[in-house]
Amino acid sequence: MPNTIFTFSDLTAYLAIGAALFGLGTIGFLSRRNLIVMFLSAELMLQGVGLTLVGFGRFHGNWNGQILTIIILTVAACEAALSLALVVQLFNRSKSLDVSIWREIREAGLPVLAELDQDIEPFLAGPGSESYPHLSPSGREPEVSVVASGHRAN
Amino acid sequence: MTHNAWLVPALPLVASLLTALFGHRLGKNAHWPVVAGIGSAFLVSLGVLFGMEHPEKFLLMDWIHVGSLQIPLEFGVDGLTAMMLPMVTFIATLVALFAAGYMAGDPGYTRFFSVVGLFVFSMTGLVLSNNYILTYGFWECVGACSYLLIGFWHEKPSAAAAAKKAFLVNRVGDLGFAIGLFWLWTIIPDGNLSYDNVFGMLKSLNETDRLGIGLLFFWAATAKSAQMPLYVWLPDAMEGPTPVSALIHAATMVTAGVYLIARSTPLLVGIDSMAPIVASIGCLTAVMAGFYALTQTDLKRVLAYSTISQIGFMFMGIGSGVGSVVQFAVVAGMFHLFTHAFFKALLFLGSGSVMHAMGHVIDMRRFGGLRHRMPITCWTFLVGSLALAGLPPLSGFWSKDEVLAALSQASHASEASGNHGVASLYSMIYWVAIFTAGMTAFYTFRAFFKTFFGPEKLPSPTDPEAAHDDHHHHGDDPYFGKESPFVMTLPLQILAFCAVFAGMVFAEPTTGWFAHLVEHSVGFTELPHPESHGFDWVTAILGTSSGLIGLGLAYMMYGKPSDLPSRLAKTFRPVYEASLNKLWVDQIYHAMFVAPILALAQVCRYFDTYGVDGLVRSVALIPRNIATGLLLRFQNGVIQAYAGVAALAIVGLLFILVFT
Amino acid sequence: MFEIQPLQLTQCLLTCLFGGLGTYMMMPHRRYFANPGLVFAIGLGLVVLAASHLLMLGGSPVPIVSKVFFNIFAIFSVVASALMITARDPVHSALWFAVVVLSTSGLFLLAGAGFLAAGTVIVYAGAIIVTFLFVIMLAQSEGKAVYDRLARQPAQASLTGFILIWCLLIVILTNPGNNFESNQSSEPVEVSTRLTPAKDLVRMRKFPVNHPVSRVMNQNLTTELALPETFDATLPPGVPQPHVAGLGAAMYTTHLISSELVGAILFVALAGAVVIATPRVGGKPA
Repeated sequence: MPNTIFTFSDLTAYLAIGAALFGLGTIGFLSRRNLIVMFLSAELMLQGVGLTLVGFGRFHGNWNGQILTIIILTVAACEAALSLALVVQLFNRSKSLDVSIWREIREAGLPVLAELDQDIEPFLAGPGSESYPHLSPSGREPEVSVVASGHRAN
Repeated sequence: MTHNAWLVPALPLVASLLTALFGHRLGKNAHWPVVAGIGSAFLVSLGVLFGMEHPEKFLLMDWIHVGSLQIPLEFGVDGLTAMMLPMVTFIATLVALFAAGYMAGDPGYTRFFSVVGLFVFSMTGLVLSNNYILTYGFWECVGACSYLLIGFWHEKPSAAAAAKKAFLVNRVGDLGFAIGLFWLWTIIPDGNLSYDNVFGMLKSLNETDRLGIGLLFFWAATAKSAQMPLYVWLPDAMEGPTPVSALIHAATMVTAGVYLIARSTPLLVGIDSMAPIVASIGCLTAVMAGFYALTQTDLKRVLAYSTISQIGFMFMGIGSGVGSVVQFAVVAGMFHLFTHAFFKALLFLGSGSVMHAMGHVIDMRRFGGLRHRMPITCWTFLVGSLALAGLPPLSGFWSKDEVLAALSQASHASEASGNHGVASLYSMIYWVAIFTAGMTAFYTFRAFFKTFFGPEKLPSPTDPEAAHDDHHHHGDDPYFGKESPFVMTLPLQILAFCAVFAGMVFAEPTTGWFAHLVEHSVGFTELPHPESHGFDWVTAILGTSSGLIGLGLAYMMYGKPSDLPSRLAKTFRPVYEASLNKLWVDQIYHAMFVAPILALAQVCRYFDTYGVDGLVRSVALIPRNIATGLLLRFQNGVIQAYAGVAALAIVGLLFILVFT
Repeated sequence: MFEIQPLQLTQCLLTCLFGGLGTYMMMPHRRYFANPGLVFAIGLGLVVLAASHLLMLGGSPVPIVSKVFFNIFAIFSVVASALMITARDPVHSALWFAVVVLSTSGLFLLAGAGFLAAGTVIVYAGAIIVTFLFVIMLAQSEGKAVYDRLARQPAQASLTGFILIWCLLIVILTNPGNNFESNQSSEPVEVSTRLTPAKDLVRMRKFPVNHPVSRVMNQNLTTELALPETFDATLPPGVPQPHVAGLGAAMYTTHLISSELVGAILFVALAGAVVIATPRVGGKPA
């Protein structure tokens, strides 16, 4: 532990950043529908807690905060392993990572609230992760079935 | 040797636990731990018997010590204990051995042996206990084991009902025991209910208390030992496996009531009205059960009624303890208990052997003439029947003779003390007992002849009587119609040997060992000592001739095919019906006790359903309506909605923490 | 009731307002009549503004190098986490999360938790992120999925989250220590005096005895839980500072059982992940 000074306002800064990470993680968990992103958000919340604990440990001048953070790190690793295994299983069943599919456990008789699909963000064509480089064909172009090419164009 | 007495209950307990935990791994060998455990307990108890010189007690631990209530976990070894321990463990060993053959292939094999081990633990604990409360604990334990074993085939509705009946009837008796204990505790100044302590304080207790406690204990004994009016459970208890009937419902557990009264003799001595009550109940039970046994067609039920009747004899013996006869009376009752254990276990195991060969058919109308097919069973059963009929020189003769002699002496003693009413009561009981002895011989040999003599007949599904249990198909049973295996006939032969010699070796007129042993019990030294009396030839001759008459009648009616029984049944139709239907006691009990309680239960049920539940439901409607109106929609299955509620809850908690 | 400086209260409010608005604008959903890219950029700007406001709530290390790095790491971690939760592509989310983890590790380092910083980089940014990416690759369908282009109720989520942040900030800033700080001179105080018995702080604030804060403070946290070597400020000069050695000692003495339990949990999770992830055919392991 470096022998620098750690004042209360330093602690406040650490706590504030930790609170911000925690809150942003909450928002991510609440609003995102992708299972993986939801778990990433949960990890983000853990990061916020870890930051808080380290700040407190430094402020009090003992190791307890760091040790708790190490424990959290380990538990987060366990959680990641298990949740990713579950995600793979869920994906194998539904071929989708949408958490909205999994809502069978609800009060009987309640209507399923449809996602408001008209609010969907318009698809932005152009450079992005979803556009793939096109190799210019060389030689004779192979026979491509109409269905397959139509699918690709879509 | 006596300091090892704690091993006697401990070894079967360990064996039972081992079987319960690891029995399923042993498979067909699951009986070995229990047989070995009980067998070694028998050896230890032999050491206790020969090593006992005077009553001793061992404090194992302080069990409960609250205020003035002291319940030490203490064992005592005295004459009664030293006599009972080898008897219980010896018969239990043989029965366990027999059961290894009898129960082979049963799905509950390990469970059976585990509970048998537990029973032997409880029974030996009951006998060893030196304290009324500890006795009560083990008394309940044997009741629980009995329940478990009667209902062993619990998938059979009749077995489940019989187990329930036995348990409930026994609860009625246990209530008496419990109240008696409370009463005793309130009058013993230091609250210590050890036998030696209680018997040492007799001077300070008044007679009313002692009589009340004695009657309450006798109440308990009537339930456990199947006496009037609480005997109804024992015939139904024959639903259990036959080795269980032999061990628990004939030889050991049902005699616990006799043991309790014998054990409490010092407490009850000197109360004039107690002994005649005990003797009268015993006499009534004996003659009534004998009467029922005359017409039963179920071999095991004949033996069950005979057990009830013989326990009635034991109570007659103990109940003849008036004046100076007290000690002799206890010796007579306990001696009958002792010999009865051997020959009744023998008879039950014999009937089990028959059942085993007949594919679990026990109705005597469906088989007959088995003496060539099952010679060993036949001859050992004959020995048991002769002993039960009380013919000399078999063991039953000596003990029955002592009971009768005690009754006759009680009559004389009452006469001498100027109590003519009691004297005539005892002489009446004496004659009824002699008559019952004849009846005993008759029904025993009726069963013997019907089973082993006459034309050979094996059960077949075409019998008219077979309609109600047609689920037995024994075409592939390797033992059907054959003598039982060695593991079953060996116990029969050993028990037959004991049934012949147990009386001769221990009886008063020959060696007097038994009386000598019983005298060395806690509190017995102060009892009125019997003046020496010779062998009562008149009683012996009367009892024997009564038995011979019964045997002769049975041979006339059942020894060879004849229509005499059916003609008699027609002639004395009401009597026959009364015996066959057991005087309608079960029906009367049902109408008097069971039906009103069921009706009360119905009333309670309706009150519960509409009164209490209605109130509760109407209270529950309030949150229910709030929930359906407001909260239901949050349960929408969307994980993130739940997480959002949790986040808002954290916000709320933070507000409460900071702003209050 | 609570004591907080009006300036800080305003900053809190501004932080949450800017942050909430910015996050909402960055969220994936339809913006009617507006250029999505522009809205996203404005939202990002608001979030950066909020992050800088956030930093003004607390202090920062005194040496100028530390100060610079602290501010960089702090802003990076907050902004990167906002970008992470709004990224349309889960791969981008994972990468932004890596940025958050690295920045946090920097903050750990500045707080003297060197070992933890290294461990976090290795475990999180190394192992866990790679696993996430692997699963994303495994499960990713072609193009942007519908569910990645539409957040669930972004306005309500942002509102909830920033109310939570606001609450936490208020709680942090109304800590009695804040009052204590304002009464001191601006000179930095030694760590050893930081360990002033908490009872004194409670006495200064005059909380009722059964108030939650007093109850927590009366636990006397610092003197009983700490090992002697953890009081680095009390070490005589010239003695080398305990680093990983001190952490290890604390971990395997005071917190031994926790460490063992965590190891056990890790093992169980390993077995569980293997069982869960194994594809099954007809209810039995293939």
